[in-house]
Amino acid sequence: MLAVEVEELRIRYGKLEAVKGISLKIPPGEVFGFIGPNGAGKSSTIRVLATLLPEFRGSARIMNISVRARPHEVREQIGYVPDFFGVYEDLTAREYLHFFAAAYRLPMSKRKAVVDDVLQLTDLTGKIDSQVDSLSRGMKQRLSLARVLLHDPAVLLLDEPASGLDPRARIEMRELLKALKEMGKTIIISSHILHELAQLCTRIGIIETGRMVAQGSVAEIYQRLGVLKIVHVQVANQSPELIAKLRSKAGVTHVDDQVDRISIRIEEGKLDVEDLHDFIHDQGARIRMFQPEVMDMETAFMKLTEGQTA
Amino acid sequence: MQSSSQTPTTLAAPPSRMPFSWLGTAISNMASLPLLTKELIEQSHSKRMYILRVLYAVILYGFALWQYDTITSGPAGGGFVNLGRGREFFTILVDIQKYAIYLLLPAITCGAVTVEKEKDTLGLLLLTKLGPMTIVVEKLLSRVIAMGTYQLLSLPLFAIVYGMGGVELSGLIAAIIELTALSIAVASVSILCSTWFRTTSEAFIMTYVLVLCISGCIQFDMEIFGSIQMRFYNPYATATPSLTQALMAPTLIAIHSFIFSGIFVLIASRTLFRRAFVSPKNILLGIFQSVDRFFNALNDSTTGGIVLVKDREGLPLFQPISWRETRKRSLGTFRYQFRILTLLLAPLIFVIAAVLSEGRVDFSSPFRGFPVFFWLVATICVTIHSTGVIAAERMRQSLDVLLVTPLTASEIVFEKLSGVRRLIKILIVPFAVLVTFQAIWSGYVMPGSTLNQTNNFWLELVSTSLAPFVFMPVLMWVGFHFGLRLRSQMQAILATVAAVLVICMLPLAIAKYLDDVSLAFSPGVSRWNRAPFSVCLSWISPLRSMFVTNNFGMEDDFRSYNAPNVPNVIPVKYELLRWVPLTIHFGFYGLVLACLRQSALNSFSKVVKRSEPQKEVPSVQRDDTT
Repeated sequence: MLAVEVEELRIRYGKLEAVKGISLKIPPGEVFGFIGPNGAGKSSTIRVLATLLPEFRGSARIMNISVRARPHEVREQIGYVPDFFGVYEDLTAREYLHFFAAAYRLPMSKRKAVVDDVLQLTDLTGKIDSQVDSLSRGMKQRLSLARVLLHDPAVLLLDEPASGLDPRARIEMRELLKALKEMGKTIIISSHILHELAQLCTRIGIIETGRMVAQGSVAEIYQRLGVLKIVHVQVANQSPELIAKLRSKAGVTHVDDQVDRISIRIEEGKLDVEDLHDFIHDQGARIRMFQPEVMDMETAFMKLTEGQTA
Repeated sequence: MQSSSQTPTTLAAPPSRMPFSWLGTAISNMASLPLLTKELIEQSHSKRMYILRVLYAVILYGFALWQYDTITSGPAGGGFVNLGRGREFFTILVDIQKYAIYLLLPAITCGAVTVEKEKDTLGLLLLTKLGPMTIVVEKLLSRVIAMGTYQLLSLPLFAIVYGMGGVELSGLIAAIIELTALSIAVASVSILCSTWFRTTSEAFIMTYVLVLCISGCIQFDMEIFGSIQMRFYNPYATATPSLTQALMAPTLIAIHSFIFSGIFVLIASRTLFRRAFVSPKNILLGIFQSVDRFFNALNDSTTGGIVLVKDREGLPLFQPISWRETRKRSLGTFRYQFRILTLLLAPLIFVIAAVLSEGRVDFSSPFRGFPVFFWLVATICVTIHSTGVIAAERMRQSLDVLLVTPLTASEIVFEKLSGVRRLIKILIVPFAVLVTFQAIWSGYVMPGSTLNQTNNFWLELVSTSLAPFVFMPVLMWVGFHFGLRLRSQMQAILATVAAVLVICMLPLAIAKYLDDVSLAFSPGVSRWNRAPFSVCLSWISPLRSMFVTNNFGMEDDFRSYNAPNVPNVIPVKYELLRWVPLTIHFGFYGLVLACLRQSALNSFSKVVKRSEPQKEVPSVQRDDTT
């Protein structure tokens, strides 16, 4: 059984078609990262799954329950954190969590223990009687996560959970999400902080102008891009012959002889970095520096998208 | 490179300057009025502006038509007799314009600066080269101009009036001066409130309070300057005053008004910076909290801190939204609602005590003002509370979080309104006290009354008793509907108040018009016999059961127009029939209440875009529209 299954999802706002036939299949326990520029359709897709957008075409199922036909049951299975805090600032953290515990109809006998557990998990036990408006942004976001964990949902839908947080709060949030991943929760997370998604997610979907541009594990996406990797090399005894031999080497697409280094572009899959190193060494060159340039998620994102919105 | 190569050329050959070009630049800078331009462009892009203008025109022309008809169709009206009667009509038109300024201008001006604060754009505006005075003045002008466009709509009417004769040039100029001065005065007070307060709602309420005071001051001004004018011009001695003499009082009032407007604008410009980034405060809650502190201190000093009814704290158990609405919101908690009850009951109990001590036989006239007072307070409280239940969630961005819980739409709606329902129960108490006292006291002072009197008494008792039970929930649901659909609570409050006015006044206005028309054709016949539709229409207005005494106002309906002293024409055997209109009236509003309630429950999910169970469609479906 899939945790989340979306087929040919189409969302339209008046004349604008925001999502143009997205399909997803996310098995249980997976952390799926949604990447895309603003207006690409990420939040709209998440809102459909959160039962907050009734007008859509195609089908969406959570834990094999149709979002369209049985939204009430879907709500029992999901925890949704919007891209804003959505907290009641006139309540204390305890009152806030008990409010939602009652809304999710948790048994009275379990409520206190559950609230204590989620507060401990989100490291907010010390703030239990603090007014919500006195909490920092990071704490408010963790409180939002504590809220969605109250009813132990199978799927967490997190729309930009780290937006507006300082680096420390972002790291705390990332650690918390890792803990949830270890607990076996299925998580769909959208974010602009791409390298964090690369570290956290088991699979990634890159969406642009309402279409899924690429989908798969981080390694698969890099591989699919067929990216040209750049290696920066400094040798003690550089010679024109070495440059010529490098240019003629299979898998090398371009060699740039710069003042302080040689920048070599290689085609991933045809030539490994290690083989390049051995090749230079075999030419009798004394290697002073050998630095492959790592392509990160941001580079992949920039390569796959054109910065357009729906 | 390109730009650097061009720069020297530009420097080498500076454009030749005209003498005094700096003066032209300064004047053009002053005359550019960027903020005013932006405000006027924004207004011109707003659909609401055009809708309001059309509505205003419809109301203005409708009212003018009715007044024209009333003036000209009377026994002394018609044909050439109307010539010279323009003054009467002119006075009415000027008065309408004044009321429009008092009612509309504060509403369109109080948000001029607060909206910038709410959108966090005031800081950006203050960083520009525009000074605070410029910002305030341009904002003020944009609203005065908008009001001017409303006033210009009446020009054709003034042309008709002038054509009828009787209006002197001095009167016309005086009216223009008065209306201009009044517009600027009201706008300057509103802009002051807008710069001072953090939210549009706070500014809105305080603007109307201050405008009410200003209207009193202007009335006082008119008395003073009118008497000054009399010292220079004696109408008994001079038949026709000169233009200067006639314009003396309006000019003095206008100068006085401009001075005060200038002071308000000056204060507003001084406070613009200081109050630009104040944190939002719940004024109502602030007032209640200070009253709380006062009474707690008083209680501590007098009783040593005895508390009879304690607000229950604790955590939500079964109905979380209801818990929050009745424990955490200022108008929802019992303590604050009890304060409102005390405020309403204290004067009533005082008057009851006075009536009892005097042993008065008249049991209705000492209490005549109370229903108006109670209904005014009830309307304000219920409107503010019911429009805010969803608007507050939207403002806090907490609505989505609530919607993804497993609570059903009807649970959310009913629980959200639980605070309002409790407020209504509290507000019904003063009505109940009043009605009960009148019932008991009348039975005591009027033993052995006739069947007609008894029937009258019971009709009145039932109508005034039922009205709060029916109309307050109707108001609650109307407010909820607007709060659900409109973007801000302010808009919802305005829409609710407008709806209340329309529901109360429109049936009466149409009925009155039909009645007047029918009177011209069938004089001397009772209203029921000549225009039964207008009578039925007038029964729809809630005002009939809220305020009108004399058995639901029906005696007037059945009484002959030319014989007002003739007692009720309905024979005694038909006494029971008089309950029919009352039943229809409350039956109608009961139906309205049920429809509003059902419509709110049905439309809630659709309006807030929450998924409700739908039929499943095939998993892969091509979108034909693309």
